[in-house]
Amino acid sequence: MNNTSKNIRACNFSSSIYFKKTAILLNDASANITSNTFIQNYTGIETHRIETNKSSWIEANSFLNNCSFDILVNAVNGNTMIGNKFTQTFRYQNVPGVPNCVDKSFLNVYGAANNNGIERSVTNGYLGQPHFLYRFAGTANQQVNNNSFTNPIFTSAFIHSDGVHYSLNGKAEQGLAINCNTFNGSNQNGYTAYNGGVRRIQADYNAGTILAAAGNTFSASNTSRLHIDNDAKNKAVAHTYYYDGLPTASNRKYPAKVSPLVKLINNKTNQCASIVPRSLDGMVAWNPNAKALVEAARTEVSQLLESKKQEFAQSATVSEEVLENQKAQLTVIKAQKDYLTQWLIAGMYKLAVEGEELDRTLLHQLYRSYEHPAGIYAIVQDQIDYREYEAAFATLASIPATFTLSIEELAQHTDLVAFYTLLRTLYTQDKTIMDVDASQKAQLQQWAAREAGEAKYRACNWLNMLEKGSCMISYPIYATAEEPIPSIERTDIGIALYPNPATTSMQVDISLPVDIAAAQWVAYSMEGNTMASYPVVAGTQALTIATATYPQGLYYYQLKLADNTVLKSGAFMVNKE
Amino acid sequence: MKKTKNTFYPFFSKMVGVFFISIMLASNAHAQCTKSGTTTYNAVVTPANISNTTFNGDVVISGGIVNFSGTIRMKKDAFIRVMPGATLNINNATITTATGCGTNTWQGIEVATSTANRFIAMGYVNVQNSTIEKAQIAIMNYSKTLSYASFKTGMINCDKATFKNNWMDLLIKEEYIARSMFGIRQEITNSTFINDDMSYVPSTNFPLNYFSNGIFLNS
Repeated sequence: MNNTSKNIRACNFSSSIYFKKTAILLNDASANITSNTFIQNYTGIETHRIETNKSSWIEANSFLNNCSFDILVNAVNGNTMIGNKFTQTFRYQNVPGVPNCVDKSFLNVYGAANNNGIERSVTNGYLGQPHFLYRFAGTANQQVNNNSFTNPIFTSAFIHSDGVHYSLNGKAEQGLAINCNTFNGSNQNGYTAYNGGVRRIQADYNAGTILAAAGNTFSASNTSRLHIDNDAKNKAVAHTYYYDGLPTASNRKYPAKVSPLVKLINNKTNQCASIVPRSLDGMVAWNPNAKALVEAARTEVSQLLESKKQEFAQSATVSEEVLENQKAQLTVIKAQKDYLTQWLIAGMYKLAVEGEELDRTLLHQLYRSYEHPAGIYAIVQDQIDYREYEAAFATLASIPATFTLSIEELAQHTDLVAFYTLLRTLYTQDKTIMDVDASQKAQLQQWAAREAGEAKYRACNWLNMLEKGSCMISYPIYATAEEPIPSIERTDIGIALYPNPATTSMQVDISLPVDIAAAQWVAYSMEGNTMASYPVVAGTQALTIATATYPQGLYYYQLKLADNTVLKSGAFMVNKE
Repeated sequence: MKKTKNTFYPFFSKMVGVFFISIMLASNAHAQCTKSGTTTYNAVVTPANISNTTFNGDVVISGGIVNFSGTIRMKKDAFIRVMPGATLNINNATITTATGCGTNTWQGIEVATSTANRFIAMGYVNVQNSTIEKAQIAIMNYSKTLSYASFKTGMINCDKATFKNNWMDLLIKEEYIARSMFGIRQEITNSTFINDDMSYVPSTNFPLNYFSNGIFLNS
């Protein structure tokens, strides 16, 4: 799932006819599917909304009145489903003129589909027949945590006859974790008889199966809250069933099988929040007030930025000397703000992981940081630094009315988390980034070289503050709007790489002016490993770089002096196809 | 075990039947819908701005930038092909079938794959505030007929787009995964996918192994 390049976000899929088979079919490509709505108002044909054959991230989507499966996971591991809402207000069964739903479940996980996580989702409504809210068949290591299940409501128009309904059905499960879920009662309309047959959790076991069911809340109306079948194979071995649904009257149907094996645990800390959301909508699954908090923060930030806008508009008319002083001050402010922002993002990550309450102040900073890799606030500061006042004002005005806070990279890259942890460590020691020690600096260099994306970007920025120009990312810097400062990269140095992309070898032509007696051309992998290093001297020379042993990918190079001053830098590709 | 039951084909056969009957009843009108020739754009220097146009045949954008706005009409089975290095921007536009086409469909937009670097020379289709309707495959990031270059597929980005009554809305083959590291992403955002009229089905020469899906991410 990491680095998927396809995002399907905030879209609306609707169909009033049974025409499309599947709204999103992920046959051999993963995707981020976030904050979409799927509505199918009248159908009786098998029409899945999302069918995934490759691990994907499915977050904060809303499914309404679909036939068959809302999400079908076909023998693929590692899908993540978080904060989705499944609603069925209409039961496609025995409706004149409408074919019955062939099958219906909100989530159907088939085959060798292991290690899927389903969290913080809400299910509600009528279902067809068969009728599973979530169903797993032949899978392993499923995590079903912190969801809310509301079982079908049966009205007189759609009387159901089988009397067995499952909120969660696991067949031949191995390693099914069902923690901190809520199973709501559904005795509406007096159809208690049908609810009497409801089993909230059913698991049919093979040997070696472990069911971890902790911290779940069951309504009082269920005949069987936890139903375990076919566990005879496990009796003689030391496998343990964990659950904290005590064998009350509701469970007495199977006390002999369950009770001797029960071990009560109720450790919610590590079981109820294992997935970090990637969107603001997903955040709402943690805290329903998250959106309102962010909106309020956005308003406040906008006001702050507006005051800054006025402040800097006035500064545009002051003398050059004052401007220079102000620029120096702004640089300090920017460093402080950036620094604080890093720490706060680290805090935000922690909050997301641990499911703690969101803090308004944090959200201010988070918003500033996440509308752009550099943060919209930092952008404005940059523009003001470069005296691009009009651009700065345009940036301020471009703050969107709606936005998504993505913490995707936080979840994806442990590097980034570690990076933020370093910054947080510095902060708690009342130090700045300028105070990093040698090992921390080495870490920064490693992150800067590791890969593109936010970790690299931020680490590069910090490195450039420590050692100007030591990192690949650079910005145009102007003393005034009219007068560019000379680049630290020499314009009288010639360098050409070809072919690029290279296959087995690449030639590097370098021309150094006479005042540079000696330098080095060094190639690095994206992980920061030195791939090649060649001495070069004044004059022209051609290097032949053997790339046959290089793994396919992107590399970058630096032409630098002995004191690590970078004269030129760039990138090249090695292509094996 | 994966479900194999398929209630789709009987329905489709029925729809094809309806389709042929509609052709017989409206043959005169459909004569206006027969495609002819190819319009080629290679606007390397200055973008070509196309608005409120009916194309008589296929459209090939071999280079540069072409901007669509207003209502763009396509004849039956006509396609728009964006070649590597070219860009098609669709802003405030509706791309639909030509007058007289009835329930016939056009092929859609295909972004041909690139034989060059994975990071450059890709064809781009950007859709904003626009509607694409009555197509067989509204947009796909490779060509059904040209040679396919693995992992060098075209790029599709849609925001506030509406896909309406297409047989398939988006068909996207896998591209080089590292593109995303460099901010090259395919994003489908704030868009609407609607099917409320089952009349618009592909013609008989459409490869039926393409199921009728909304977004199909395939290898």
